[in-house]
Amino acid sequence: MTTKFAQRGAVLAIAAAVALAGCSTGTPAPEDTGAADTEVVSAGTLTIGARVDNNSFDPANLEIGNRVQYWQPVYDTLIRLDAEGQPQPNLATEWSYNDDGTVLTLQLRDDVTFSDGEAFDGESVKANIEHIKAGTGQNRFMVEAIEEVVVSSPTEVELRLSEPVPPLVSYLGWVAGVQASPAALESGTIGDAPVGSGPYLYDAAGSVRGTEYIYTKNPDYWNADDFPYEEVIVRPINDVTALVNALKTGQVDAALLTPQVAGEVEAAGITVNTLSVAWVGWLLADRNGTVVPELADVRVRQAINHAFDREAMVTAIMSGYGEPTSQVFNTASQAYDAELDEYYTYDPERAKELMEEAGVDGFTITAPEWSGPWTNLFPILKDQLAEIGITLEYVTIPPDQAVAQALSGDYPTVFFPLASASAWQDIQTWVAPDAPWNMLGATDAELDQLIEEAQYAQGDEQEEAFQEVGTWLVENAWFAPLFRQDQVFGTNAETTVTMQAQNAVPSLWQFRPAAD
Amino acid sequence: MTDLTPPVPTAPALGAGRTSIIRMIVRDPLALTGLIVLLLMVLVAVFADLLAPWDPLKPELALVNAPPGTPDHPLGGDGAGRDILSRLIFGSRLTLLSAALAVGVSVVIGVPSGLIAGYTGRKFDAVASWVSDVVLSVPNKVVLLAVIAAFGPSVLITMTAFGVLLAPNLYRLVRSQTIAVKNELYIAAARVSGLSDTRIIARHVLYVVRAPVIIQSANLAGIAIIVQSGLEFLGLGDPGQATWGSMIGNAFAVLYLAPTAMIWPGVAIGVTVAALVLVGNGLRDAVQGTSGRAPRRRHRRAAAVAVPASETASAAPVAVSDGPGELVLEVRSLRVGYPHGETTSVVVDDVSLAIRRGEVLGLVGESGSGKTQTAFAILGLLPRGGEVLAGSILVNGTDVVRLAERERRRLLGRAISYIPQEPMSNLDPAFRIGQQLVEPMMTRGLRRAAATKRAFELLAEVGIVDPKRTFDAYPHQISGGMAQRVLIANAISGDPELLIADEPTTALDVTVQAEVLALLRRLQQQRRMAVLLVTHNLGVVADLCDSVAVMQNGRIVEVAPVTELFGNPRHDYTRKLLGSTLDDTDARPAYREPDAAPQEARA
Amino acid sequence: MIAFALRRLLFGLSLILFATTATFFLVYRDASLVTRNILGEGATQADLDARAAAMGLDRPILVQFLDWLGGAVTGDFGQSYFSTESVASILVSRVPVTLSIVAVGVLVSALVSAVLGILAAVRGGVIDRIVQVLSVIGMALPNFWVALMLVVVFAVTWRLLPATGYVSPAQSVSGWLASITLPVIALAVASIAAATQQVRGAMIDVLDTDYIRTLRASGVRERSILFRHALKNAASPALTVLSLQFIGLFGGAIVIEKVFALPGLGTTAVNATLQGDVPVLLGVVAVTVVIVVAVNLLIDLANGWVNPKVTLR
Repeated sequence: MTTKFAQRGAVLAIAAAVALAGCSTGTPAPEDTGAADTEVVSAGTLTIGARVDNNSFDPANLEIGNRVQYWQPVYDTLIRLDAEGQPQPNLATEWSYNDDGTVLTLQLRDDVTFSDGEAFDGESVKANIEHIKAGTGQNRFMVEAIEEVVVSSPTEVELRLSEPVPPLVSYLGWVAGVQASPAALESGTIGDAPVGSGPYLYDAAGSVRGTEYIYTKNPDYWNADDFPYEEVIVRPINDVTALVNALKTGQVDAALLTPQVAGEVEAAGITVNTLSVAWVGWLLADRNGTVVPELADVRVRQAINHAFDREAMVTAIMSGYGEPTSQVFNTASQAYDAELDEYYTYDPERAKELMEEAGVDGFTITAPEWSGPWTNLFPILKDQLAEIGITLEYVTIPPDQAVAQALSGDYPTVFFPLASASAWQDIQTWVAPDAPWNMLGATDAELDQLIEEAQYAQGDEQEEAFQEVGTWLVENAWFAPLFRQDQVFGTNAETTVTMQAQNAVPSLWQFRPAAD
Repeated sequence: MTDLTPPVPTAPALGAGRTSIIRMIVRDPLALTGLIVLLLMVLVAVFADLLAPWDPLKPELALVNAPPGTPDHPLGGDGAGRDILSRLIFGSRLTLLSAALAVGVSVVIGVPSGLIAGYTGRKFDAVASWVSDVVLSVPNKVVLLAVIAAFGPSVLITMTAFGVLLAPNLYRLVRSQTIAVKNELYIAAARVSGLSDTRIIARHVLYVVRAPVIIQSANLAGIAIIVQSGLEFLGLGDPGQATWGSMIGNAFAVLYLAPTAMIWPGVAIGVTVAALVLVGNGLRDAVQGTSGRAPRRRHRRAAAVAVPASETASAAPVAVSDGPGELVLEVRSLRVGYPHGETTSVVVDDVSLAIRRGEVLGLVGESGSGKTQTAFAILGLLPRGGEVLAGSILVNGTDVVRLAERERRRLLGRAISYIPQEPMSNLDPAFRIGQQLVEPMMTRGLRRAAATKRAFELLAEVGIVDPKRTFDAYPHQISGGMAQRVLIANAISGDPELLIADEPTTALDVTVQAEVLALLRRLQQQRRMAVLLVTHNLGVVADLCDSVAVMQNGRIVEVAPVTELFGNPRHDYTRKLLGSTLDDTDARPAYREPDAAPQEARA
Repeated sequence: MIAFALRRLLFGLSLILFATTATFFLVYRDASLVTRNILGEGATQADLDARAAAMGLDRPILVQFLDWLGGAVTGDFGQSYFSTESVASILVSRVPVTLSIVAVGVLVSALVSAVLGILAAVRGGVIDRIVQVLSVIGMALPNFWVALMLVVVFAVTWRLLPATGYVSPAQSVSGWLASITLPVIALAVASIAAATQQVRGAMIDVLDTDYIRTLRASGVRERSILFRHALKNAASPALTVLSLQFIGLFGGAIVIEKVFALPGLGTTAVNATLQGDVPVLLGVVAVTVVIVVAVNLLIDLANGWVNPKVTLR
């Protein structure tokens, strides 16, 4: 059942991990906000503080996660995802699959033009998808299974797939659905000068890269009601303390923060919005026991799961901004089962019993450790494993190599924060035999069977199938998840926001001026 | 030949006075505090295992961000629930070690290369200096970033690299010190006497650079600690290690949850760095004597008789001739000393003398007899720390000791003027000769044009052939004899009634000496100035003076008209002086003799 | 003079070449580390290879370096690995920020340390002690701590000055001043402390010289002695210190820029180093060295003016 496609897809994981690990991927923003005077941004302007700087406006290189804040103002997408992550009409008004899920037909709006005057139609959809496919960007995988885009009429296109891609419609709400002017795509300058049909126009002259990105209202936008601000400004500030200060002094209206500063900003009258996107914990990568034979025994992996005091970690390390869990899927995921959250409790005695049953009397595992947001958790993890007789030895690595080292396959176990998206994506990213985060290529015939069933099922059956996968993973302790981490998003008194499921930051249409 | 006053080469003298340096630091309360703090820190680091109440690496979830005052954990817990006090105590170990590592590396690299470059010069110097310039031209934090990126965040690697980056500081210091010492005569003498270069470097040069290197190292250690904490702050630290820097980094991450956690390592770093700086400053002050508290070494050349400041003056010969003419200068029972703490080094004691208009009084004595101090006391320009302790100085009948500073200053360049000993060091190197002549005259109310015209006249009057050229020259562009003529021109530009000439010819070539003496004689006679001529050279005395006062150990031992003194010296010391002069009429050669070795200065 | 300029130019060029070469080989990493950071944790090896090929990272390291060098000679510093921005344009926007705080910092440091140093040297006694103690404290405080305190007090609590950000003087001079005030203070504290000690020492040395005594004996006014003669003579060692301070402040700017979220060279250098963004880091190093060489040249010229004995060789 493994497909070429199955190798792909850490999409959203990347997105949130940037925020979580703070160091793993993406360009940390050259820190700045611009504004010198502490004037509070006028009601007509929304100023967002971003944790990372923009990389590019080229649709082939767009990213999700933090960087949607830069491109969502200028580019409209075929689908819009609502706060729960459900697809809603946008540039595509209707969509439908054929029976075997390999052709997706989209009906398009006929009243949309790009800011360079060109009309939006089926040909532009084709041009955009092909552009992304021809590139080497992070999200190319979203369109990889699209073998052909057939333009039936200016308002109808068919996406023909090489195999079913369960979350394809969601992808069309992210980078795969981004629509830029086809002429601009060919110009070669789109990386710096975006031309889209979005609610705002990028003010290249007024913006200073690395400092301040200014977007002014697009007078011709078809759905202006959803975007109340006259102007949107995005300021990259990658130091959280600086961001807190900017938020407190009104230099920005909204920004992604960390649990550690939540109490501080709340005391200063900032609203803290939360949403859990990522799970934080262990990938017991050597579950087949190739490097550390003891890990092949499910009882040992279960013992590890019982070693951690998840509640206390959430309270102490996360200031309460998180939920203890034993499963890797997010709460909106098809594979999520609320009952699995408390499957493994903190029980060192039970852990020791399990170790004894497995006939294991202490062993050593290695894992990478790096300086960053999890610095304080590492020693605790080591200490708690020591309690049940497992010696954890850390290898200190440079922060920028965290992802590369974690994926290198050099470690039997890896601690990492990973963002969870759709069930299918998550499985392709973490679980499948050649998933990048299945670093040592562990396999299990029973698991493979369950996954295949899920891929080809539809509707409620699919959900059930995914939940079976989830249950299997928890019972067999392929992971030792600790908790789901809350994204902490601060907004000032002038601003309200609804969090966006499965993304690190809210989408632009979720922002509203606070009612007086 | 006892009357040699070689310039004291600072460093050997200091090396000799090693115990006195320690004593000076101990006497300097700030430096002493620093020293004690450092010692305490080292003790804490050594005995961390005994002192720390907890394992610094053992986390406890209940203790995460615990506030200060938590039972059993007086400073609370850090972000990972480890006891802050224990980490602070253990942190001193790695922090001090890593600072020592950085300094050690830079000493190992900087000192030998500086010695070789300074001593041998040539190619090694060229290459090493280039490398040093390169390293100094690149901001070292940027390099450290690259090193961390390349080799990972280990404290030891980072601090080793930092040591390399700091090395040019020591290299430059040692190199310049070595060059300076190399040209000292005693090194030349050592070389002539056949000592090998390595021995000279080891025995003499290293000896000289030792103190500056220690001072600089103290500062570098402080910088290393600060930089390390800065890197931790940037998130580039080593998460597995307990240093004060990593504690700051850790505390910064939970700044808002446990604001006090930042204080302790911050205070530890601040106190340690401050202690290092204080010790460094104390050492520096002890070496350079720049502190104002510590007396400068130079004064100590004057035979410092440590006597209680209260000791009463005794009767002594008074140098007053009973010739005609009004008294221009009258000094009564003058006592000059340098108080430090309880005791006072008295350098001039119970000196009385007087000079009438048109008269020249010679003040003779060997080096350290107090004659120059007497002259400075009359001018009111005693070196830092010096004071007139007793007696009076009457200029035209006014006791200037009792005048306000400002009033007294007004006399200088007008009623009283001064010709110094070393012409080259007495002209401001940063200004043209002309400016230095014109400025005092303008101070006295002349307009620039008039002062300039007068300066040309004066330059011509003192026998300078091309006044225009000299006027436009910088001091380093003219010869010593010329410079002395310029200084004489300057001294007479205010038409003084009293001229104080301190060894006006000693630093000059023999041929020039005669010319300058002739010039002085002519000017003195034309202007009928009263002159106090400080000299050790009895030949000069015979040539110029009307009467002579002989000084020894800060006191005047004999006063007499010139002819009488030469004909019938009464005091033993005078006879001895005369004797040595007769043995060798060229009492003071113009060059410094090689045997004016440091031994002399150390004595 | 021309020979001097030529030698300086040669030294500068050799310095740039040396620094960039060393940086390149020190920071250079395996292409897959770079592309992994661009493409994220989901990318496959094939994705990484494709990206590496597209970026030219699959070529031998020496070829890449020579390619960069060839471009740099013609003013083309290449493009950031991680954004579409050209290194030249990154530098153009970042240099003014860092230069603003560093140059103003040096200026402030020079002025304040001159005043304090002279005061301590001339007055001595209690004033000297106070200045000494202040300067020891200034040296002992880590600059990020000072910066954080300044933000808390002046920006967050009193709202007098902005907490973060940079305003170009072309946009608003008062805004520019406001945006750099706190960073400059945080940056200058340690340097003032160190330079004050230097000025004090140099002044004490100069004031103890023979020619100062002779000037006094000639009746020159004390004010002129202090501010014309002593200061000019003390300026030479102070200028040397100043040039080292300037380089030091460039390093300090790295930390300060983080606290104040200033988009300067320091921030750029940290991020580029952490990501292995070699072209950007090379650009930063090159431009930093150019600035340092230029400043040293200026200081040498100034030194030639205050110290007639210096001949520019």
